[in-house]
Amino acid sequence: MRRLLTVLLVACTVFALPGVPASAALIVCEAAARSPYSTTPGTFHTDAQPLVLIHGWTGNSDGMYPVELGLEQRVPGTFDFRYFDYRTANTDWASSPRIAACLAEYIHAVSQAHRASGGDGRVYVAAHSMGGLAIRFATDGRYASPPVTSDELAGVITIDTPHLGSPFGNTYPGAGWEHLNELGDRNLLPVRASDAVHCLAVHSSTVPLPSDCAKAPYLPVGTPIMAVTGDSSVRRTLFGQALYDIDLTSDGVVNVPSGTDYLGSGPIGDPGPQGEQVSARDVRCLSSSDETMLLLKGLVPPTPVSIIKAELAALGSLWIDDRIVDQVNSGEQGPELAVMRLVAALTSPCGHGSMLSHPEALDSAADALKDWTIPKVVFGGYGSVAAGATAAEVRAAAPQDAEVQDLAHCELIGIPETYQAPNSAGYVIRRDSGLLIGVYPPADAITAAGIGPGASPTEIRAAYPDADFEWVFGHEGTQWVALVSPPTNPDLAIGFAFGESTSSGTPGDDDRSTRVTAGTRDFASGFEVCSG
Amino acid sequence: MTRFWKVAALVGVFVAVVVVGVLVYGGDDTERDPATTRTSSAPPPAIPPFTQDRATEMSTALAAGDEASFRSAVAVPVEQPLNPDLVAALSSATPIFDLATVTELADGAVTVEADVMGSAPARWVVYLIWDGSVWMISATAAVP
Repeated sequence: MRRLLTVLLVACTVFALPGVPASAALIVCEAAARSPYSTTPGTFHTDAQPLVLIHGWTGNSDGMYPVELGLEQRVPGTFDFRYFDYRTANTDWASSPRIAACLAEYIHAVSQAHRASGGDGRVYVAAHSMGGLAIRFATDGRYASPPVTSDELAGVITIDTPHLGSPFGNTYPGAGWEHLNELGDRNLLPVRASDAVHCLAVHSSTVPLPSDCAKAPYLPVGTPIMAVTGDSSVRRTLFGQALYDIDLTSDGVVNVPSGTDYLGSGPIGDPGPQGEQVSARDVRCLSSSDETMLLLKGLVPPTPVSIIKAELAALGSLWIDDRIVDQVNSGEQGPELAVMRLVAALTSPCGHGSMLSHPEALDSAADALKDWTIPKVVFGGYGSVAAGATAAEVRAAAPQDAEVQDLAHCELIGIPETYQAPNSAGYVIRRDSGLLIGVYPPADAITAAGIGPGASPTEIRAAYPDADFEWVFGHEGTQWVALVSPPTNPDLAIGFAFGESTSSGTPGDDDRSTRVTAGTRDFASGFEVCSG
Repeated sequence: MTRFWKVAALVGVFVAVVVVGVLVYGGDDTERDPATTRTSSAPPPAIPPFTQDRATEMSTALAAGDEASFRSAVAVPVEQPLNPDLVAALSSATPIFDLATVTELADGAVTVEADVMGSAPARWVVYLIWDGSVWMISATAAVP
């Protein structure tokens, strides 16, 4: 009897927390759930980073192609694109092993393939809609074994991801849409959970998700995220002339707060990761009702007349009053707002699907990726290497076509055309120790604190408020150098040289730094370190 | 999947689709001005066609250039403020409705083409909705 009670107690404990798998169980991607539509990890170009594209609810990877095109135009040659496709389970909630565990397995495979190609195994992700929640689940051991780690995940772009749910989640229209998609989708596995629409319910820091839905965990500490979302407004026009604007605060499916408030989307009471590299951008579009009606009539397949009629009624009855503002803020939309948002999803350039090819959305994603991928000047070094790194570590960080130049007691590793200071990206290694002593970063490189050549003394102090600051007269007695170093390790420094100057007085606030170096204290000061 | 679950799933889909339809079509009930909401359980009277008389009334109202006349022709919530300058500007864009082009979209919604005079003459599709007592302009779109 006691044994039976124990079994019942354990069972009740497990089932009382539906949606959260028992932590002891291995959550793996079953072979049958592995979608054949994902691209194979393959091999990678020497200097390219992997970028995995992840589609959303009821979608497939075909829809993500505009993102590859747009990013390749904006940051050419930087990424090798791969597609994770879960079309066989695209109505499952994102925590499902068929999505989260399979995605984790895929990211591991891509990371390993990148390492095998000579890369660092760091993977970037650009995800649409529920795909952004899938990558969050894939980084948690409760939903994927083993989960994606911060060592593998270099950064995440989410586009129109419902971090706080969708007003169509857990509603009959949403369920109807999901079932209609399931009826017409031959790719779906015969056994499916169909719980995505239920779990896409609106939630917040005070309103929980349905109890049988797992809440997306935060990304691993140190993983940067950029959340981009569409923000549509309708300008009521008559015969081409403007009357008033109706702000829908939505891409039609995901409200702006939900698409951008990653930090507010964690467990109730959890303020979210502090000091993380989190950024957000809402892309605003204003469409006139004249344009909207023209587009609505021209859609293929034809828009049902019931939708057109509902839009006409909504246009004639919706105005921006407290009631609508309350609906926008609470996420509980009335029928007029729901119709106008649905129509915006179909017709607005900031609509839920159109955002994947919207120039400003792609600009935002590309800017974030540039920021994450371009190495920064750090205390004592550049990018992932600092003074004290071994020659092997330096060669791994340097461009593949870097060459070696003799500098008496040092060797300089860099690309011949550019490594002469100040236009260099050169790494200086002492021959006797075989260790890096300093780096000449590219001329336009900026530091991790966001400053570079052109910074004034005041800006340098402001960017490094906690660092030790010192003026030294270096570079063979020709230049003042503002030297900053962390109090905990004063021999790792960044030096901001101030052009040709005299020893009589340190640069003032009208002066601007002309170049930046990083390395040991002596190297960053511009002292001769390779002659003796 | 067992036969039971297949049937259950199909029933679920049917119900969901019906509900979606009801919500979309049912939008009328929540969108209609409360003052015009029918309270009788009797079947609603047939909606009369869009006539030349109503077309003339609407053209005249728009040409008047004042807010009250404008609101008698265009479906605008009473709570929505209107810029008097915009209303006045629209008076120069008086539509001449071509009743030969009236097309029923759905019960209580029609389109009709209109030639708009003014500084930039053009032909427009005008979307009309039945507000319970008269036809009103809801939206316009340039004829492609």
